[in-house]
Amino acid sequence: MNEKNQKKSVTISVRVPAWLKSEMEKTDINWSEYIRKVIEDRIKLERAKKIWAEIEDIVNSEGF
Amino acid sequence: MIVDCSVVLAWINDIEFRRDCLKLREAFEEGRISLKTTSFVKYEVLRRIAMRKIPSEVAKRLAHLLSEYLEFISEELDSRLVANSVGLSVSLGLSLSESSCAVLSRYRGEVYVTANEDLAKKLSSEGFSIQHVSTIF
Repeated sequence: MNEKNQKKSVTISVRVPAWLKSEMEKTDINWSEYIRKVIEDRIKLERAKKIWAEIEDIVNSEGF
Repeated sequence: MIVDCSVVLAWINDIEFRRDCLKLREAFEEGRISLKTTSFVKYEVLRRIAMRKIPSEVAKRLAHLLSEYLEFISEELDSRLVANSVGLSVSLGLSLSESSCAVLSRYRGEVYVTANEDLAKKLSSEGFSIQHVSTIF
């Protein structure tokens, strides 16, 4: 990923039930920040899983 | 949870308590638990890979991948925590990778998980929050 893409931000939409939006509005939580962090963490986990699959291939083929 | 070298090495070696160690990694990858370790553990794991009798290209590739993976969970200790790790290492006769986990565990207020039964007993008697991996699930 180049630097320009890393800095550029885009908007994504998430549909939630009306009651949930109403509950969200009652808090002081920065939902945008919160959701960004959750997505980042999930992406890291997915990358970690892919790396581990490669590690397992090597471990299995080398008979560790 | 803070994991040490004994847990990470069990992920790639068929050694005792491997199944428990793998469950821990799976729980982490499913987002059910958080795992942390120290950069000392990362270097210790890489040192063990370097000692193995495997083709150098395989060792390089494995080291690259393991390093990348452990980067997700390893924490660089500041000079004060490094000093505490060395102190603990000297006073209890632990390896630096073990003592750094104990120090990080105390600093973060998270349980230290190991696959080394003797170490679990030793650190537990010293008041550290440590659990053997077989007791987690």
